Amino acid sequence: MKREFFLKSIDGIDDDLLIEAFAENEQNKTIAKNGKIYWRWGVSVAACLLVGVSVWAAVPSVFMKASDNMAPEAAILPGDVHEEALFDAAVGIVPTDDADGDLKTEAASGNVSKNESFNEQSVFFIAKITEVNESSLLVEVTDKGSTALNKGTAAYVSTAFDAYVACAVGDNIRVEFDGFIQEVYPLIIPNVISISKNP
Amino acid sequence: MEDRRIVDLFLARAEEAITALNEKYGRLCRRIALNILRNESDAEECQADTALAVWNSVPPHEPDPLLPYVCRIARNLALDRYRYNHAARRGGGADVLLSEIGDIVSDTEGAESEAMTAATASAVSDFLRLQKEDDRRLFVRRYWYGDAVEEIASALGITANSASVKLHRMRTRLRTYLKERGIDV
Repeated sequence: MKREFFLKSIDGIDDDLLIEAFAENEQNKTIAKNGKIYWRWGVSVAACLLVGVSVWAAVPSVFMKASDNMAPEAAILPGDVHEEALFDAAVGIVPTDDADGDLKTEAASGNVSKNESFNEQSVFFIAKITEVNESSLLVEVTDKGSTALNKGTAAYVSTAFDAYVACAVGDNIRVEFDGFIQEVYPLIIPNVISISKNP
Repeated sequence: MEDRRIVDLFLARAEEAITALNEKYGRLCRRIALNILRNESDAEECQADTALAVWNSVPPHEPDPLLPYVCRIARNLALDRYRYNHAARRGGGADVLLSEIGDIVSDTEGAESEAMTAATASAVSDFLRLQKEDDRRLFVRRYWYGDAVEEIASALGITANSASVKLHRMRTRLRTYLKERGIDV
């Protein structure tokens, strides 16, 4: 039968091909464990861990604000807001607004002092203007004031509010805002209540 | 123990050569036999017969490398045992191999001279060298060592389905390759 003939012919293939395949035979378990299969496993697990750690690192600041200032049962965020916060934290965005106005967050890195009242109307810091733009000022924090901003932190401060009085580069100003900070670089402070020159 | 040392022991007619051979290649020989025979006791006998066959053939032979030499003996002994068993019943591991090889060769009778066998083996070797390394291993492990597709796939980090597709494509290509070289299969 030709099939058996072929099987017999295959028997005569070159030695090096057999050794090559045998090496794989002997090492297959090692390769499977250390190689492709477990390597892929490892990458998947590492990716999951990375996402998990990111969420874990970001979410506490969201809860901290609520739990520090609210009744324990109220510290649990509404489902939609919670999921949004988790999503934002996972992708590196810090929420700057919320649906009902109760959730006021600052930088995920904890730029707000725990001693501050969550329901406080405003917070402030002192800064020096380094750049004047059409609707914002780029400033460098010189005094953290009632925030937890570090000295030297750069931030864009919105000037899109009615009471804004023109300032110039080099002016020292007192920035009062509602506590929202978008944690990008430089930081963005969109909801400014007032800007006054600081002597 | 290194292959050369094992061969030297056989050449010196030292009985520990059998032990050394079994320690190094016994499991592989039994695996090859088991893949073909699908019977533990038959496979064990083949392993023992392989060691005896090496004892009887070294000297005069001085195999280098030793691995393919031992594996060929084990495989041929297993196929002989398979044919012997096959006379009474069907369903051994070689049945499956022969069934798959049906993609490459026809069922019609043909010349099976030693020269033809050697030419076909050489062409198959040439064909395999044109394949990717993993594909080559897949083919040889499947059709020479008779390993299960699932097992090979696991070792190569691919799915069994992917391995089956690759094997099917290789069989088709091999058939074309052999035909182009005037090997009537």
